[in-house]
Amino acid sequence: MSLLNVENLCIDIPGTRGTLHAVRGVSFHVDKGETLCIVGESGCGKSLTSHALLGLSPRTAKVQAAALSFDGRDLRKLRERDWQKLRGLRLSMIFQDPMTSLNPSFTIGALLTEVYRRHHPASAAQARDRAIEILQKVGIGNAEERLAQYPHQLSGGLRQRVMIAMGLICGPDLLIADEPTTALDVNIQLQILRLLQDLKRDMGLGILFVTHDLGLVARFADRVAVMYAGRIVETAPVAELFARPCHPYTRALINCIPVPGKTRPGAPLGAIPGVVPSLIGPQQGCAFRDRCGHATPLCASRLKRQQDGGSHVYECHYTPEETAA
Amino acid sequence: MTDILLSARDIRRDFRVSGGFGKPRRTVQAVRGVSLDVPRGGVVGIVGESGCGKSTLAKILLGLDTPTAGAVLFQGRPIHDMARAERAGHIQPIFQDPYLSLNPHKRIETIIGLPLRVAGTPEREIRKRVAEMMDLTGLPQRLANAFPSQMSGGQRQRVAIARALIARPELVICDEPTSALDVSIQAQILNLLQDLRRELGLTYVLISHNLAVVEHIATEVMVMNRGEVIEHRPTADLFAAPQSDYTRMLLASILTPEPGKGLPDLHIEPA
Repeated sequence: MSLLNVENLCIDIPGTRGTLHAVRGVSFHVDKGETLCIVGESGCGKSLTSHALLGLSPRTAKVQAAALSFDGRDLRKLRERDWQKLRGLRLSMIFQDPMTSLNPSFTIGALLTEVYRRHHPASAAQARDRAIEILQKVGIGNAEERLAQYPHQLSGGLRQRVMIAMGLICGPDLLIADEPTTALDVNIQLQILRLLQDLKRDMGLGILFVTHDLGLVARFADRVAVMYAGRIVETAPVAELFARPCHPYTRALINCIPVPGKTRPGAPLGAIPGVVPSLIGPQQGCAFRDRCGHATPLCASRLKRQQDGGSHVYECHYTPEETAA
Repeated sequence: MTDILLSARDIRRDFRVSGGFGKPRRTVQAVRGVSLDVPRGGVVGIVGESGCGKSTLAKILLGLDTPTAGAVLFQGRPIHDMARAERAGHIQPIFQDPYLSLNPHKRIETIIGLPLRVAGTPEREIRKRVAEMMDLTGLPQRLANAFPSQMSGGQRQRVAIARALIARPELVICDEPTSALDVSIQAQILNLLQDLRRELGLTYVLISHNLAVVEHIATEVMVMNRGEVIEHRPTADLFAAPQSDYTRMLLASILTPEPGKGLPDLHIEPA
């Protein structure tokens, strides 16, 4: 059974110019010891999706789903008090920006032990030992000294590692990470990805990783879901997705990035013309059709789900052979 | 002999910073003796981790900051002796964040025309040149009266590029020009920068932590660490055979979209 199961998740945000259909029927699952990467560009709904899984949607948002369950528990029925027992303990989140998501008026030690003691009947000394242990695990050398420091005394990379330590201190079953390494230098990013991979292997941690970095996805994910304009347009095991991208958007996205040794230096990159469509008001058909070179009138009328082998699913009327440029 | 457009000689920049409450002030050496030649028509990439001094160096090359020691020469003349308007006619910046680098209260037309207005160009000429620049950077004319808040990130970065190029500079210093943008928009902007370089005969200094972008655009690469130059060589040579352990480490950390390879195996010291 899946650790996390999401079926037909819809998030609408009412506004003065009409309702924003930010997430429009998203379904996926994450198993124990598995990494699912959700990849997409700004505004595709990937962050809203990940926040909704923790009950952290904006207050005005209307969140609906046919199913939303974690380890067999229906998350739709949880009250705030139940959420607080679950969050941090079994379901954890790492946010993108460590500059704004760490409380500046508490020391690192206070921040870490607070999370731990909220969920465990531990003494202050036990919680402190646990905090030191977890800081060492995320690659912070002089952990004991760090406990007494405030977030502003740490560099960006260290702050992000403290955030990750807070997410992992209770040993969660599922970690939801929203671009946790975007602001970090490449070698620190690598160190954190390695740590998450070790935890996945040793503790069966399930990881839902939200990112826009396709290179990271290729090296880190087990399965990938590509989001565009509020829908998952393609989902596949990572090797299949890169070997045979079926949706024109996935293919265009892969062609956008320069790859040392592969793309010819100086040659034009495969930019996607146009911009992301507005999701305000009723939506019909494929959202990528205005930027797609292969769109037909059929694309404006409705969507079509196709399978390419067992677990490779994409949403396009045409096969990759038909849409190949 | 190659034509050297900009030359930096033994640049140093120290900052006096607070040592913390009750402690004496101390000196941080952000840039420690960097020398650099930028050949006309070339693209010099500067890479390194955050805090390595690359952005401080960019400010000094632009003349926006004064080095503690050393000199920057533009075609043999020290830029810190030039008048601001003259310097701006030769060297222009493009910054990382198009959300922060455009004045939110000004219309696009005004923002793009500013460098000409500073130089005292007649208003009619400015209008004509703004329209030309908008065409060149792929901005529709109907946006001339829009405000930055009404535009997407990619459009804003086009505005920043149009503003940088309107005074017809020879050298553009791009500090992380695509880091705040989505990959599909990044590709658009990189293509635009390449096209403009060819059409207008520009020279770029490109500062980035994205090594794949640098490899794609730059003709030569300078690697910096802790305020010093680690190596500076033609791009193809540097990527094919890095000379220092530090460069090797940087190159090995690039996550190329090749599934099956897994995460690169690197030994990294804990911080």
